[in-house]
Amino acid sequence: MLLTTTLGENVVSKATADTLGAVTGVVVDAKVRTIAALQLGKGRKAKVVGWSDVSGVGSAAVVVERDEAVREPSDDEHRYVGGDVSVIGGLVLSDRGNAHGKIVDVEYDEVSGALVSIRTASLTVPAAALRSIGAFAWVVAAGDNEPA
Amino acid sequence: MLIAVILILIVVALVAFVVIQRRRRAGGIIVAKPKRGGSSQ
Amino acid sequence: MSGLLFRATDLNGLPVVSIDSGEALADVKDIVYSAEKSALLGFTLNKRGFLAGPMKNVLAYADVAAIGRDAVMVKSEAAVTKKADALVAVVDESSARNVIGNDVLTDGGQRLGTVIDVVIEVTSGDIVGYELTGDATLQAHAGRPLLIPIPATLAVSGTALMVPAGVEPFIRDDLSGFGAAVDEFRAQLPEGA
Repeated sequence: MLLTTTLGENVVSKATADTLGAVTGVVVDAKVRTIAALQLGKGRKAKVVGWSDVSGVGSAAVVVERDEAVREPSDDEHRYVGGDVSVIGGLVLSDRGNAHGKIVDVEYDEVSGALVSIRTASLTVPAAALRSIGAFAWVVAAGDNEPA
Repeated sequence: MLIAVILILIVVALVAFVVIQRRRRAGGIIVAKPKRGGSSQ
Repeated sequence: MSGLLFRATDLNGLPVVSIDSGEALADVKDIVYSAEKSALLGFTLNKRGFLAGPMKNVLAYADVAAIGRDAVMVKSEAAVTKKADALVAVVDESSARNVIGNDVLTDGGQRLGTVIDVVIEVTSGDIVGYELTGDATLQAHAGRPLLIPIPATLAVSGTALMVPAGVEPFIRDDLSGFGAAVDEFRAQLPEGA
């Protein structure tokens, strides 16, 4: 699944069938290269749903187990929700110090939330190459074709 | 009148601050002083 | 000679980025090198942000993971927070010794031009030469940047770069032919030099 497909989808409760909001972003756990949570809403009113509370991500909607799964972001999550760290628009920087442009999309596994690849306008980087995610950049291991 | 003077002073101070700070940030290529005096070869 | 040649002034202002966190820790202020060792020693730093001032901490070349077009990479924040006393001492006594704008003088007292840059091989940290604008008298290429390999230089002070008379054959006007010029020059040096 592509992240740009998921962004903007409605988040619907499995228990009540109520629409709880729309996906406005994601929180990524860089260590395990996995989507840790989905963001709903923007600014001070932004909320998150942990990935473990998501029962399904499809082409029409994101379904969560129950209404109470929508909660306030934690401090770690706030780096993403608050806009310090960008996902779409984040800079991709190789560990050799060369920039590869900004992220235009992220491919992920809709079951596990695991990242599959990170895409810029010119390049697709496998998620396995991801070394860290920070406010400045997504640092990736340099590809073989990059000068030493 | 007094307010105008104070405003101008504030603007001048701000510009001076920006100029000084840009200068402090300006970098160069520094060659280390040789350990022994005189020729480096 | 292999590797990646960079102009030192291209490194001025580059962000210093942690591989472990993806955070920018500082911007490069000065590039500090030793002419004796023809080696990059490290960097002085500015805090990040348009109006932020210089940082007290410095970054030693030994703590640099990689230098690229867009950033200087370090393993972690420790690279810019730990004490690098040797480099701090060098910076303290040499901070006014900027080589950009130095006169290029031969040991015969001729002026060849002005230093406009220093060429670094960034994977090894070797300083391989100087870039200069030649005076009109130097050669046909006057006005275009010229390159002098570092073995062809005698000394540099922050006011002048001293070169032997007769260095002209080793001056090149493009970076791509420069590696060959460095090798060629080294081949002419006496054994053990």
